[in-house]
Order: sequence, then C-alpha cells, then structure tokens
Amino acid sequence: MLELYGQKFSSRLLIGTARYPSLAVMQEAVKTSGAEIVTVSVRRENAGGKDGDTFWNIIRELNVKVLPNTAGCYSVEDAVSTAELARELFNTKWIKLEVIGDKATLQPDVVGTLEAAKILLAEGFEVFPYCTEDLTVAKRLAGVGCKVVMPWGSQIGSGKGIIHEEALQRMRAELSGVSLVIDAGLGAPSHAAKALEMGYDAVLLNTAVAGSGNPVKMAKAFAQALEAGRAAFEAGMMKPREIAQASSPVAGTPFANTANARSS
Amino acid sequence: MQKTAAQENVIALAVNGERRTVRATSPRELLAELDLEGEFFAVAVNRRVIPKTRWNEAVLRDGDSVEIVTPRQGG
Repeated sequence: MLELYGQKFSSRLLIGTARYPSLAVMQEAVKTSGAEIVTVSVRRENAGGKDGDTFWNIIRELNVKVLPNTAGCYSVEDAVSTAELARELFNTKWIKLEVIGDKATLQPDVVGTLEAAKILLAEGFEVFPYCTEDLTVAKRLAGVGCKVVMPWGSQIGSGKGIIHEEALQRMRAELSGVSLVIDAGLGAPSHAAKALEMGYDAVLLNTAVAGSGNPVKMAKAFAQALEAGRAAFEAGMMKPREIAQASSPVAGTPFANTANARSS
Repeated sequence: MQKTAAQENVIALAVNGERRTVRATSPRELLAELDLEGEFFAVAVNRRVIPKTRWNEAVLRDGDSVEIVTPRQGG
C-alpha cells in the first residue's frame, strides 16, 4: 500500500485534472486510472464563480482525495498564501508545493521551495514538495519534516520520462524512510513502470494522459504499467550482466561433442 | 468639485488585481455586490485568509487588496 502522511492508498497514481478535452473525459479518465488522489489548482474566480462550482462538483462526484497545488507561484510569499487559500477552499492540510524558479523550464526554485516548506510545515500543512533530482535538496526537505518528496522525472509537460536515472536511484537508496513520488515529465506508461521498478512509491502525471490521443485508454495503460512496475520491484529484478548467460541448460544439449565421431 | 471615494460611502479595493469601487464593507457583501453566485470561494484580504465563518463580520477598508479564488483544474 502507498502511504502518504499516514494515509494508505491502493493506487500508486496521483493524477492531474487539467488539459483534458472536456470535463467529462477528465472524469472518465480519472475513474479508469484507478487513482485515489487528484491534483487541483486555486485560481482567481471568473464567470461569476460558476466555473469553479461546475469543476468542483465533478471532483466531488469522483470521491477522491484532493491534492491542491501552488502551481504558477514564483515566490515563497505567493506559494505560502496560495497554500493557505487552498487549505480554506478544499479543507485539507495537503499541499503540493511548487515554487517555480524559471519560466522556460518550470524548474523548481529549490531554495524557495525549502523555505516555503518550512513555513507551511510549521503552520500544520502536510507538504508534497516538487523538486529536482538534487539529493541534497531532497534530504533537506525530508530533514525539515516533509514525509513525501516529489522529484521531477524531467521538465513539466515534456513527456521525456526519467532523464536523471542515476541521481534518482541514489535518492531512492538514501531516502528510504520517505515516500518518493516522481512528479512531472513522464510521457509513456513505460516511464511510470520504470519509476516503480526503481522503488519509487508513486508517480504524479497529467499531460501524459490528458494530452494523449485517447485519455481514457491511456489512463488504463498507466494503471497497468504501474501495477507491473510495482510487482517487478516487489519481486526483485535480476542484476544486469556484462556477458551472455544461456537460459536453457547446457548439460544434455543434443549432438554435443559428436562433431568428430566419423573420423574416430 | 469631484467627490472622493470616502464622501460617496464607497471604498476602493483591488479585487483579484483589478481596481474596483464598491459599497460592500464585508467579504459577504462584496461577493453579493460582484454577483458571484457560486458557492466555492476562498477569500483573502491583504494576503490573510478570511474563513467563510467570518465573511459577515470581517471589515473591508479603503485600499484593501482582496483575492477571491475558486477550485480549478490543475496538475
């Protein structure tokens, strides 16, 4: 079971609710994915508040745990204020903390993220910080009390998968007591399987499903990949070898050592 | 002579980053004055969250900066 701040989940997928062709497709994709946690954002109201109501009613029908984010925040102050609004709006202590440092890469400002995490933890939040593959930063986040750390696989929405595999392997080995979630950059179900094979606890994705040709079908594909990846991790995978090793037994191979029979 | 905002019994607020002149003196009145019909809002005044239970009694003052937010799709 996946454990996040003491709560247990059978699905290892956290799924985003943005960028689907329609709310109906989003709802169906989330259901099909089996995800028990969805991410949402907090935005200034427009359209007389009706947009927020329509969206929120659909989310409530899904009967899932909500993880609000601080997406779009570029400062500690904005991220903290947005988290406080999210807590009021969604009535949850959970916050996916994003403090972005660069507009082009949407790379997290890891210094700001650590600072904001400290403030929010002190205010009683349960913080899910989005960070890079940097081991020191991940350790510092865990050190200040984050029970979940969410390094990127690659840039948000890029679909490139896990591009810093060695660093993320190291992070998994060093942070055995923390729930680690690969957040951002996954594009294919095989990327998600890979994350769980590496021992990561879960993945968080959005565009890979929402932006696919058939989000509902892709949601199913990710669910299957995650199941396979986790089972592989639990089974314990073989160690890669430098040279070939025959799969079939060598002893008893027919016609072995008979090449010279005629001449003897 | 032009009347100032105070003389008109109105106050100037920044609501979601836009300057507005309103008669509302509480978050509850402000939501009504802005015709916000939805149910799911959170409100912050000068970055401080005003819980829904205090929307009637919290006082808005001239120059306050108000954020009104709703749930939205997110990743």
